[in-house]
Amino acid sequence: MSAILQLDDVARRFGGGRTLFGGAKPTVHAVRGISLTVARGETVGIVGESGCGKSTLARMVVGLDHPSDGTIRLAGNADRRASVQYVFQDCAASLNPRKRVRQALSVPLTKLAGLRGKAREARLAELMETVNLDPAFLDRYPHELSGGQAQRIGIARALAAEPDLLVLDEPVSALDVSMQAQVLELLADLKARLGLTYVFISHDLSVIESVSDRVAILYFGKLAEIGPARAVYAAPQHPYTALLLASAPAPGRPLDPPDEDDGTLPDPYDPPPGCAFAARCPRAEAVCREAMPPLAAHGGAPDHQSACHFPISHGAGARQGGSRQ
Amino acid sequence: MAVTDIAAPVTPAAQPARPGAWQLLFANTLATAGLIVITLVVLVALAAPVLPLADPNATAPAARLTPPLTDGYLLGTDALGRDILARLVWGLRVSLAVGLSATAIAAVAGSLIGLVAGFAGGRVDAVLMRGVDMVLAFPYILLALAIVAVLGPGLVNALYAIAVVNIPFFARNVRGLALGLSRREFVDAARLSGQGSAEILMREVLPNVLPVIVITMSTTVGWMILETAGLSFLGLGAQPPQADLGSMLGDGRAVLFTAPHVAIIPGVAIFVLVMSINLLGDGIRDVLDPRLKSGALARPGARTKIARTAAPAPAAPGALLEVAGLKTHFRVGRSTVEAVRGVDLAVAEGECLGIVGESGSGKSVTGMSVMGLVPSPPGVIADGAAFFRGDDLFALPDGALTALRGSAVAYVFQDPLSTLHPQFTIGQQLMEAIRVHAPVGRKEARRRAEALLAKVRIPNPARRLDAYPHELSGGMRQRVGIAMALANDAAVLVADEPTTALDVTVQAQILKLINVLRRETGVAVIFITHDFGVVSAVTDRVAVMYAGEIVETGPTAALLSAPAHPYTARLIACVPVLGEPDRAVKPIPGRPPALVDLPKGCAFAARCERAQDDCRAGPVPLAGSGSRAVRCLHPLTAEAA
Amino acid sequence: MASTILWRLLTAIPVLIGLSVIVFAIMAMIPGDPATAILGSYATPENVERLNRQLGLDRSLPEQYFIWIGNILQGDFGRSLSLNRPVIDEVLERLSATMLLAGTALVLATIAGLAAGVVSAVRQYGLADKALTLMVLIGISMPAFFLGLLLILLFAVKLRWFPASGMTAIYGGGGPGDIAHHLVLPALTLAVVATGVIARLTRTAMLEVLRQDFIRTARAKGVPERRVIARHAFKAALVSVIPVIGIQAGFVLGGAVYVETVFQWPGIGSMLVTAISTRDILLVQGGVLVVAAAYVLFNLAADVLQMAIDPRLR
Repeated sequence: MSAILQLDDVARRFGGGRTLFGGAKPTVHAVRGISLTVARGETVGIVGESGCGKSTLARMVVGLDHPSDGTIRLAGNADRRASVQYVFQDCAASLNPRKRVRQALSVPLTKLAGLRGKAREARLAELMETVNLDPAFLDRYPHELSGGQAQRIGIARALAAEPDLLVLDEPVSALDVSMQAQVLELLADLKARLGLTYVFISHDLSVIESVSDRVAILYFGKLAEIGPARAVYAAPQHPYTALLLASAPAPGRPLDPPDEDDGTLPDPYDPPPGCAFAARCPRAEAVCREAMPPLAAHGGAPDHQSACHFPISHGAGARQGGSRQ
Repeated sequence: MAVTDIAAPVTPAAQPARPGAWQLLFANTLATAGLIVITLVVLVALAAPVLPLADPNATAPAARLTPPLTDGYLLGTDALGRDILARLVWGLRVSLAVGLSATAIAAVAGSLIGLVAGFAGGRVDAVLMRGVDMVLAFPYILLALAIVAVLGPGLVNALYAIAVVNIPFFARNVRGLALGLSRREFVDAARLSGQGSAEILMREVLPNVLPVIVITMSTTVGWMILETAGLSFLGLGAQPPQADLGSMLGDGRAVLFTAPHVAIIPGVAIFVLVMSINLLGDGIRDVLDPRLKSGALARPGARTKIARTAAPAPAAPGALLEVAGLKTHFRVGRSTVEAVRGVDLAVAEGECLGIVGESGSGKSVTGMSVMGLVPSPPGVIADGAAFFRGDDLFALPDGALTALRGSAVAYVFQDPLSTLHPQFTIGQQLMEAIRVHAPVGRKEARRRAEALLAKVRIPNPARRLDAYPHELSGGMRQRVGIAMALANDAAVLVADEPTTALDVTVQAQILKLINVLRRETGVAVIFITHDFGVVSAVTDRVAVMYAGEIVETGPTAALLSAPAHPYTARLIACVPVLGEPDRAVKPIPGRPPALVDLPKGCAFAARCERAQDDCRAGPVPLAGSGSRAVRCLHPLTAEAA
Repeated sequence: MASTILWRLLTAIPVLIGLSVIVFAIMAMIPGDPATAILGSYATPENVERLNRQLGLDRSLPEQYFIWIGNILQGDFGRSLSLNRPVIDEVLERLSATMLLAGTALVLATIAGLAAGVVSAVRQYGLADKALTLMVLIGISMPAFFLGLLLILLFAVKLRWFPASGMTAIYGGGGPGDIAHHLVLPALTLAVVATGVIARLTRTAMLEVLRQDFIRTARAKGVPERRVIARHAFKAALVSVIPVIGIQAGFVLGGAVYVETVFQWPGIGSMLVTAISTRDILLVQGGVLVVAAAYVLFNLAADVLQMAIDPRLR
């Protein structure tokens, strides 16, 4: 499989620079050096809690924001916008409240696909069919749509320019569970039919598990762990991944997370020199607070990597059996 | 079966006809009155040249200061014997023209500055807005005076001066909105759709800003007419022989004591004109401002309105808290939203009951109804009762209910940032919760508040008492919310999605805390959530709600492993479960029914693959044996599940 | 918090500089020869030339500004030609009269406006709300200069309760009682519009706040409704009302121009109107600058008050 997207040590800082009097302005370190390759046709899930930099990362991949350091490369296609598109979390907010659906969908068809007149009308109808909506919705205003319908329109707009890669930023988080399942099914169906590649961002571990081929766990702007979804879920190496998995409630499972004072992140204005998770980590030692652990394979498959000085090791049986006890 | 065929495209439901802008405006009597007066005034002003009026500038020394209603002089004459009616009509023309021109100039210039500043942001914004702020740093009319002082008195100069000092109002309003809009996702979406900046500004942002420009115009035009009249009154605007309403009033002032009508007539004219413009302006604002349009600014009362015909008797003796036959409606305009349609619930001491459902299922409204916390208007408790230790809470007088709030039944809400008062320290808020129920001094209340923080495992409680909510993390704030609910040893805790706004690791801590506190204090909990995983982590029993009704209830583990109602089964099946990535996620087709127009039979029938004709025929009762009950004529049997 | 206040104080400095630049720029825009404009068209050429030199008008504009601002910082605002006395003396004398009038009006408007707004919101759509809303509407549509005349006709001419004009009685006046007696009508006139605006805004802010989640929290913990409104809702509503009171202070100061003219109150407003008519440009300049500076300081106080009641701003 060929790579469609390659991120090389991407970092994004906000603020910074000098004030009028020469003092340094505070800098927020949102993304602190992420390298990641996405292969054509796969779904990479990106999980993390609020403030981990996942939305900033997504905005950089689609070109709405630019990295302070590092590079983002898309394969082939010179026209970047045509090959990657974005599906927003708040589907209703991504539609102009004063424009009908038809106008919203026509813009990318005209601007990016160069369609006019009859050809555009035909493609509009086709798009609506693709996302399984009646063409009558074309004449609706956004406030006349339900959350699920608005999200389908958001997907249709992203598909208008026939992209190869879709970045889905929490596409189902704002939806009720029954609507969530409808949209997930639609996304799975589209991927199979149109041969798309997904970068799927969510805070919901179970949604990510059900959609992803590979999973990247983000903590405080860095990759904590990355690997095949099954391997990461079955045998987490990074203590943060293990904490996340132990914290997620699941039907029929008693919940017993380890005691913590508070799940606060380190100060994004002043990131610690070592591992950002060290302050919360039961396995942390002095070295963790001083040196940043590199992302490396730790005993599992070579494509299962984590950034930890003292990764959790699993027996061979545990890795296959999926037991976390 | 047809309903499972999800390939069938989603078709739009019929839209209720929405009243147009003009209809809404005419529904407002005062605004309509204003519109009529203004229309008349404008017509008269336009028609001035053709009306049979005397020459407004012709003096008649013999007829000076003729009182009104004299033959030939309907409104009398002024100190030079000029006909006041003719001068009034011509003066009106001038005042209107000047006021409208000033408004137009200020609106165009101000909106342009605001649009560019808000959309461009950064340096451009900083430079433009600092300039605008400078203008605002002058007391309003003073700057106009300074400008007139330089340009020299005169009507056109007054017009410019008034326009300039009003530019900041447009610039600020438009800039604030444009700034917010340009950070909105639809602007990002337009950018990704290939639109350039200028195009986005004109085609995406401007249409959303226009209503605010119109609102600002309609609320400032009256003011600008007033101010230009004011400058003329001071002798700095219209110069003789030209006259507007303000200079007429200024002339009349000289003869105020001998012939007051000369001043009063133009004064009343200005007042009527400005008043009708303001009435119309308010009407326009109400129509265009979406927040006011929906009537959302109605003040919710201290307690939900109760409009039940008869109170039911308690059916579950021995229950700590019982809800019987509860129906809560929202009356919006002429339609009634039936949010809760006959809910029966009971919790025993120390028990944790979960209420699960999607948004709009009525789960939160049920919880809020117990202590009358559903906002009224529009909420109304239409039927049913809530019994606390056998006492009907809905029958209590206001004072008695307030005394039970927080002491018998306490609440924990979803978003811990918005539910704590931003301007009081958490210590003040905790101490207040204690002192409204217990007659203790400040010292003792503070000691108890500190103990409460320790109880919810907040490190360093004494210091945290003096923190404001925004200084704490989300998880800490929710702990404070829980501490506040526990302040008076309430017997029942209603927790309404208390962890939904929190990150998963924080959620786990809060859920664990709730479990520990239940064991420590023996408090009964009603836990409202949409998440089966959460339900499974904290509750003993669970009730599943759909379209305002409980469709199934039973012990949590049994219900989750063998759901009897098709909705429960499908709802469980459509959520991915951690550790089971291969489990097929099966969506439920269709959408929940609108709560204004419910089918007479089972509300889920339209989406149910097991539905038959009898399901749609009439109401389905909640029936069951032992601890489990289900509202279904064709439930799933244990073997089928 | 102390450092935030100090910082806020420092930010007032560029605003004051900006004000002086604007005033200077406006004065520099006077068409024709400024000296002639100041001295009038009958001035002798020698006088014009002397004034030009005195004003530094033979230098570049930035130079002129620095000379001008340097003089002003030393309290030298020039000499009023129509009154033949230093501008600063006249302005300071009249400033106290304006401050008394505007201050009284603003205090009245704030108290009445807050009270009316809260009552109106709490009794939304009730009789009191409707009556207050109508009164507010009348108040903000009524020109102050007309209202003043009406009050004079009614209370001074017809009922003879209050004097029609001036600040003190001509014979034997000047005591605090006498001044207060003269203050009633102009202060009322000046307060009406600001009362209306503050009442309106307070009503909206209260209605907005009463729908917030933290009000529900207060009710849920058993706080009696009176206390919910007086403590929880009112304090939150003040956050959006205080800036408006700051803005209204500007309108009141401006409105003083009319009211002082109508009631012949010896303040800066009436002075400015006379100065404009007599083309006494230096007097206009001094008056505008001093009042604007006073207004900036007032807004500073409003901001500090705002910080005191809203911890999120600290």
